[in-house]
Amino acid sequence: MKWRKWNRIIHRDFGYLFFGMTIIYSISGIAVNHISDWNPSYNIEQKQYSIELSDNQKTFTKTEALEILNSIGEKADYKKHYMPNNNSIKIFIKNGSLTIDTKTGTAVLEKITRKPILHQVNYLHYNPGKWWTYFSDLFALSLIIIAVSGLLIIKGKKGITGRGAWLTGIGILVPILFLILFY
Amino acid sequence: MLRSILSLLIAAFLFTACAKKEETKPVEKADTEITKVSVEEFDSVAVNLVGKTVEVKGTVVHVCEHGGKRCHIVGEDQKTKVKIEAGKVEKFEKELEGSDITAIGVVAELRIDNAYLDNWEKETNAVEKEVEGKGIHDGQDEDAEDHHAKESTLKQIETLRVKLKESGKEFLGYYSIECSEYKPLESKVEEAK
Repeated sequence: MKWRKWNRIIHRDFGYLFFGMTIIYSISGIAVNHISDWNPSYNIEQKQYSIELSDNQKTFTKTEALEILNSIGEKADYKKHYMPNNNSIKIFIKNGSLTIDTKTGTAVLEKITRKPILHQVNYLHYNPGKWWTYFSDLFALSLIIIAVSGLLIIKGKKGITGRGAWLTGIGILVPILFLILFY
Repeated sequence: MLRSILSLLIAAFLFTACAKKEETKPVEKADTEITKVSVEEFDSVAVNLVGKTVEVKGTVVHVCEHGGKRCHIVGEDQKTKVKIEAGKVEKFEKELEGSDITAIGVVAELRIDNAYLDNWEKETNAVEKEVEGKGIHDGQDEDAEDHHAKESTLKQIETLRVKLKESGKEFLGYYSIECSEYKPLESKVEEAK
């Protein structure tokens, strides 16, 4: 039938067109799914130092902050510093920070770098702007078309009236069971 | 036969998807007028600005580790903090830490009453180890606010119960900003010599 031919063309070409988007959303989907176990967008490197501080930290100055950065051999870029509480000083540098425990003199240098590819795909996943929202809406609609047209590609025993029905049924049953059990 | 089963499954899926809707509170439409507020005065004036659009300026001292869904800015006094939820901007980049920003958004109020605390306690007891993102901003440990261990969450709930009782009020109000846009302000970066 002619409609089946058009169905196949739509399924094939939409599949080609949105291959990239499918990969972007599936990679970032996995990354964000496990957000409580790791940071999906940044690598965080930590180093510990021992710092000697002046007696009066209440008047901790920018000059002192710069001296400390120099003393740990980090030609890091100073941005700002502040005291989150009475026992610590945080010096912000470009792409990181140095947190000093003023009681013990222990300092932790934390440097962040963007995870290649993952940072970019996660950025896209979080809808960076309205044009991307329009495009991702189009992608979502296309996924529906790809899914429905996929059901109708083959006729007969392996099509939607045979094997396809069972597999499609199982695929729908899984979320239903989940909803029944946990919703 | 197979077609009937398939139709039933689709119908069941649609039914379960529509059966229970998320309980949401009506959101007041934000005013278009923007009120400039300093970080230092935010907590004292926020109660009168709930649902209204404000602009605040401060230094980002913390961005939520997992997903950048919120950040904290500190005022010029380096003590007072305001929590900014990503809202329409979706996320804050970690690199913003230490940068000055101007943020515009709608003031949101979180009312902590006994019912809220009961529900929170129930939810906390139901999870295994970590409760994400529901902590109350106490201005001390930003990381702890994003990801509370179960034990510390229960401790915080208890502290809030005492605080609520001592206040003699029906609820405790916590205020934040649902960000609609933000702009990093230019700041000099210096290399240590």
